[in-house]
Order: sequence, then structure tokens, then C-alpha cells
Amino acid sequence: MKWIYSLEDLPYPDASVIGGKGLALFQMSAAGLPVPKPVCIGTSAYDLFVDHNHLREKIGLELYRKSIRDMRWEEIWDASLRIKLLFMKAKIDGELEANILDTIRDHFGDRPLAIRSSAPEEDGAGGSFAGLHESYINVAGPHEIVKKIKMVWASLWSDRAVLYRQELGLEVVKSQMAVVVQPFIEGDVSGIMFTRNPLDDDQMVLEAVHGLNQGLVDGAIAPDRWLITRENCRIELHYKPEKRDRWFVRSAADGVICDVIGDERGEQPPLDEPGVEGIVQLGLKVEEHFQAPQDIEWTQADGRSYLLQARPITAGSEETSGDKRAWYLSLTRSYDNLLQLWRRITQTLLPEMDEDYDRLKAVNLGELSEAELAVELRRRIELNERWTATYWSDFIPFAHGVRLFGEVYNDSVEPDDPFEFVALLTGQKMLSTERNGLLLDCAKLAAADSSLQKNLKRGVLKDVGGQDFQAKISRLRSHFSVDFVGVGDLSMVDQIISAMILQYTLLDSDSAARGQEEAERLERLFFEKAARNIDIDPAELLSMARASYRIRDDDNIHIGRIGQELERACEYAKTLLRTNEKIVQPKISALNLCLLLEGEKIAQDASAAEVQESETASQKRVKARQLQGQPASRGVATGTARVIEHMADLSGFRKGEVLVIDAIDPTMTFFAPLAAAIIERRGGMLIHGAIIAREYGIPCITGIAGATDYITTGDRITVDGYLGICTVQSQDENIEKNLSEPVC
Amino acid sequence: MDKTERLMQERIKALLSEQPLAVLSTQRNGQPYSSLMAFAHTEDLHAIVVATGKSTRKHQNIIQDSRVSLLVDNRSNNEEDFHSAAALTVLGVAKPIDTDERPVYEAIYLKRHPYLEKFLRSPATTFIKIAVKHYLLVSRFQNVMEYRISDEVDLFA
Repeated sequence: MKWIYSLEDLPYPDASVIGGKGLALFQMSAAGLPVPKPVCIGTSAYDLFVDHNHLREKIGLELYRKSIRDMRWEEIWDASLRIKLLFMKAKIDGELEANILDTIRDHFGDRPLAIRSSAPEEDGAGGSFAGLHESYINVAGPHEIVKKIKMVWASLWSDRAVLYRQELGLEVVKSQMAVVVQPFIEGDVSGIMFTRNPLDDDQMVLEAVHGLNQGLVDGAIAPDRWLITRENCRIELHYKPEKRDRWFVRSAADGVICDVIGDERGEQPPLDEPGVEGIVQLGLKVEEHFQAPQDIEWTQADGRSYLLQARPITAGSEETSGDKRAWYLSLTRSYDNLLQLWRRITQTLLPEMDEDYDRLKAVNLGELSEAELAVELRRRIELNERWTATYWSDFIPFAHGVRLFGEVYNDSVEPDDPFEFVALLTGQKMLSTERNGLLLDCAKLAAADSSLQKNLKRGVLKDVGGQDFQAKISRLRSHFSVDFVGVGDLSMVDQIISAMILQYTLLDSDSAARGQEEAERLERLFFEKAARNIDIDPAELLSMARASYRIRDDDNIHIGRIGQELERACEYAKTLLRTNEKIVQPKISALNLCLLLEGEKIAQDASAAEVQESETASQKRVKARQLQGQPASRGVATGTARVIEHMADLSGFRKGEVLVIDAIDPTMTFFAPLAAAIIERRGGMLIHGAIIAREYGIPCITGIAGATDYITTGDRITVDGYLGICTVQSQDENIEKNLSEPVC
Repeated sequence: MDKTERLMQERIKALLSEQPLAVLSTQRNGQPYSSLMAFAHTEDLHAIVVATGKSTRKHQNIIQDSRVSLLVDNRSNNEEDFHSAAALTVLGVAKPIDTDERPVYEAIYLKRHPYLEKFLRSPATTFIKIAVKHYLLVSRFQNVMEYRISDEVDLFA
């Protein structure tokens, strides 16, 4: 069986064996173009590896847990993380591994290597989706070589690739991956080139950075950019970046590192005019060889130019409206970018948001006239919109910090559990756990005060329970946005909070820090392994990840306060308008309220307030017996289901019930300590419900499509947080009676 | 009928239509007994028909206890079955087919299995209708949905 191909293997195998990238490199080498000598590990090696380790069906089970169409990007990311770890833990067949290592040693000795993905699909439709699979550079030593080959194979199933699976024709049964191995060229200057500008047929585009081109490819470093007239190869325009202060260079250990550029070098463009001319000529030779415009990656070391990759320029994928995949991928931020976001969020955004909240809270809304209230309401709508936009532009991307940490942790530690890293992030002081502590304090006061209990049972919070109790309630309201934006009817809020406090009286108040020792052990293990594996400071990475994890939960509470202030102004507006004998529908929007306050006439749709009833008789004929989702927090629990379809349903929630919900908002997570288990329709390991469930050691399954449709309040359900399976137990009985008719 | 029920019916019908054989389970004195059977289903999914020799063990079992279970699946006996195969468990009650309803069921059965005409018409063969109570459709390895044909209570309680 032939697994590995070198330039001597004539005729060259086709792209189905060595992938599109591999074939192009072989062809360029053969044509005398300057390519670092390639060796290709063919797709048959991938087949042997996955079949030998039964990975094909394991991938199938991960990706077909439910329809991929119903999977959120987060769930796809989770599945890819698990698949990658499966690949890393699997062993390469002994004969194959020896063959690979021997061949590499024969060709390259002990030189550091570049190990790149070369998917067979890349030369076809997949060509327009470059960067979906992984490549590693500066790899040395048999252990690292084998590890990186497995990681390249695993990247066939990267979250990015799975997102574009239809375009790539990605199928568990037949998809394969080849690997290109080349000597690593430590470039002084690197870049890319389009021999035809996709936006202007008469131009070529050249981009260059100092050092290696990692930063350019993933967008971390702004390049110098030249537009060149194709006809005469003259430079038309040279765009300089704002600054050239960082570059990617070879790391002393493995891989590459982003470092500060020396001033002198940073002042100079990476290429002078003859340098640009040289790369342009090289690009044209490649274009001539392939007889088509090319997208090229190149590098220069010691005055020599090398071609790292060439592929035909394809039309970019047409993004239809509603296709959010490119946005998901943009969330994958570089470490530097995450550090910047971290500073911006903690030093600027959160304090600003809290200042805004304090200002809003201080306004005495009761004193305002209709016109003044209209102005105030508009200010609040604008603020709420602005902070919501910031939430999407800064907070959501910062959540990637947790994922980046998870990837680095798994690459370094290679744990058995792909989500072991989460143990290092939990147990911190989070706003939601602090808030739940306050609720517990209130519950303790209620437990010792029977008249307070009576009031709480009636849903009364105002002026009950003494000063200490009132102070805590006031802090709960002001700091933790428990006033439920969107409930509409604010009298319901007091009832929900009362019901929760009563339920908290049933809780064991000594929920001491769990797993602290285990977390400390894992932290030491991570620091030790990561120090050998990565160039960034593991402690800084962990701190950033912890902030990302905490802020992911806290940010909703912060932004919830602004929303709460908007809601409060809306309630005042409704009251004022009604006092002035104007008709106001209960579900009127904030903007329409402004118009009414400003004296405008608006059409109010009374039917909008009606709640749609989705339950039908036939849904009861179709029942779920067993539903599969993602195991998000370990443990097994059985309890009565409480399905939350509307916020008001929460007031009925009792300790020991299984919470079944579409999506838990962090402002609602105080239900978690009361729940026997949590089931969420929205999928993911790092969503709020899963985070809080792990925090309290409660079994949790996420990503059960139709969870709230198929489970009914009162169903007896068992939640298996190890496998992600929810079993709906029988509600009714008596098998004998129904099936005892005789046959004859 | 709403979308959920229609979808469930479509998935069940697709599986029943593409598979000629089912495993029939009967029991006697607590001893389960499984047999591979040619079957056909009615369009409304209320009945599945099978034929068997009168002297067979399964027939004897049915005479003693009419409660039966059928398993129909689309496995290919490859690894990918674990994520791609679907299995349908049918629970119901076996009844002999009355003379007046026989032509209808015979037509359904012989349309699926024209080569079994001689077997079906033999005096030693009995033609049985299974009145379906519940269907349980297993897919994606661990998803189990139940479709109740009759409005009777749970069979597993």
C-alpha cells in the first residue's frame, strides 16, 4: 500500500490522492518554480487512520446527533472540539507511522517542517473557501510531527469546514484529507498575491508583511498593499498600513510567535520597488504555468523567493441574506485581539455601561411631564440600542476567549474529556452566583419569620420583612436586573421573586466550593504542559479565559440593567398616559409610547398582545420517549418537568423539578440551584444554562430540538448528563387492560 | 392533523414501504420468540398484515397471547448505521382477518409480495392483522419518538 508520495513518484497521483494543494506544489516543483520540496501523505493514510481507530462512525455520531441544519455554530464548534480530541488520542498504525517518519527523515533530516492540509475538495468547489483546514509550521521532532499530522487530518472536521459542508461535499463516509510536508522556510518577508484583482481585471494585487505571513492570513496584521497594472507591471498604488509594529516570527519552541518589530524595520515597507517587481514576475510565471489567474502565498528568506501555495482564483461564495456563517467565523479572534477586547470591556465598556445605568436610575420619572418623559424615553431607547450593538460587536466576540483557551488546553494537555478545561473557569465569583447568594440570604430571613413567609406566599414584597430584608431586595433589583425585562406586567415580578425566595428556603445553604482541589491540580497540569507547548504566557491566557467566561455571564446582567431602566420608563409612560385618559395597549412598543407622549396618533394593534397557543391535540399523539442532545453538565437526575414557555411560568417552578426551557437568559439563572436538572433547546457547552449548571453540579443537556414542544409540564423525566439523553417516563399506566383481547 | 403528526406519519410510512421484512416478536409463558416476516401496512397505519403457517410456533404463541411487537429497520449492517439507520418498533394486537375484510388486506399484502400468492392462499396458512397501538421510531442512535394510533394509555407503565 502506498501512503506517501514524493517528486520522484511519476506520474503524479491526482488531487483525489494528494489533495489540490499537494498536486499544485508537485506541478510547480516539476516546472522549476521555487517551491520548498514537498512530500505528500496521501488520502489512503487518512483512511487507514480513521478506520483503524473506528473514527468514521464516531464522527458520524457527533455530527448526526441531530440534523446539522438545526445545529448552531456553537454546537458545531463543540462537536469539532470533540472530534479533534478523538483524532489526537487515536494511534496511527505502527507500520504507517514508521513509513511516514522514515520518509520525512530521508527527505528533510532534522529540519523544522511545515505540515499543511491538502483536502481533495480544495481544487474544486471548495477552492473558494480557503483557510477551512489547519496548517502548522516550524514543527520538529517525531512526536510533534505525528501530533500535527493528526491535527491536520482532524481539521477536515473543523467548525469552519462543517459550516460549509454542503459546498465542500463533506461526508463522513467518503471525505478524506491529504497532508503536505515541506521544510519550513523562515521568511524575512512574506505575503500573498492575486495575479488578477477579483475586483478589477486589469490589476494585480500584492500584499506583504515583515516576517512570516501567519498574521496576514488571519487578519491580525495589516499588510502593505500594492495595486499593479497587469499590462505593464507598474505599481499603480501603494497602501501603507497605519503602523507596522508587530510581526510573526519563528518561535524558539514550536510554531510561531507574534512579536514587536524593531523601529528601524517597522519604518520600512516589507518590499521595495524591485522586490515588488520580483514577486510580480514570479506570480506571472505561476499564472502562465497553470494558464489561469492565481491566488499565491509566498515568502522570502535570505534574498530568495519561495512559493508556498498557489490556487486558481475562484469567485467568492455568494452570501445569501440570512447566511451568518461568515459572521460566526469572524468571531474566531486572535489572542492579541482578545487581549485588546478584554481591556476595552473591563476598563471602558462595563464602567461606562454602569455609569449610564446609574444616571438613568437617578432620574425621578414620576416628576416628568409627557413631553419630558418622551425625551427621556427616546434617550433610553437610544442607549439600549447602542449597548445592544456593543454587546454584539465586542462582548460576543470576547466570548471566543473561552474557546481559544479550550483549544490550547486540549492541544497541550490532551485530556480524556474535551471539556475538562471548563473546570478551570468555573468556581469564580460571578454576578449570577453572587445574586443567588443574595436570594439565599433573603430565604434565610424568610425561614426565621413566619409573617414574612405568609406575605411571600401572597406574592407581596413591598414593605415586608424589615429593613435588612428590604435592603437585600432592593440590591437584588438594582444590581441584578431581576425585574425581568419583557414580562410586561410588573406585578408578576414580585410574585416570581417571592416564589423564588420561598423555594430557596428549601435549599441546603452550605453549597461549599466543589472540585476546588481538582481545579488546582488541572491548573498546575495546564501550566506545566502549556509552558512546553505555547509561546504565550499560560497564566495570562487563563486569566483572559476566566474573564471571558465570567463576562459572558455577567454582560447580560449589566446590559439587562439598561433594558430594565427602559422598561421602567415605559411603565411610567403607560401610567401617565392612562392617567391622562389615553388608550394604551399593554404590549405597545417603546417607540410608539414616545409618539403617544408627543401627542401623535398611532394605530395600535390589539391582537398583537394575544399569546399564541401552540399545543394541539395531535402533538399529544406524537410523544417523545427519548430525546438526544448535548451532554453539558454531568450527572443523572429524575424529576417532574417544568416547561417554561413564558416568563410567568417561572412562578410555578418548584425545587427538585427539571427545568425545560428554550434558552436560559443569565438574568434568569437563579432558578438553576433549585432545579434537579436543566434541559435547554438552544445548544452548546458554553451557553448560560450549561455554565450555571456546571457551577452548581446539576445535570444539564442542551440542544434538544423541540424540547419545549415534546415535553409537557408534569412529565416525569430522567436527564442523563453524561450522554445527553433525556428519557420521558411513562405518565399513565395499565398495560394489561389495553392489550388483553384474545386473538381467536 | 398538524405538521408534527404528518411528519411522523410520513417517516413511518417511508420506512414501512421500503422494507419488505420485519421481525415479529411473540411470547409464551414469558419466553420471547422472534421471527422474520414478510409484511404489508395499511395507508392509515392502523394495521399491519402478516401471514404464517398455522402450525408454526409463532402462531401458537399468538393464539395464547395476542400482544405482539414488530421491528422494522433500514440498517445496512455497516458502522454508519449507528447514526444513519432508523428502527421502528410496533406494538399491537394480532387478530385473524375476517372473511369480509380479507380481499382488501390480501390486495395490500400481495401488492408488496406478489411472489407469496401461493403461500397466502394455502389452507395451512393463516392471515393475521396486527391492530397497531403504538409506533416507536428510533433515529440518530438515541432519539425515540412515539406515535399513538389509539388513544389508549401508555403501554410501558
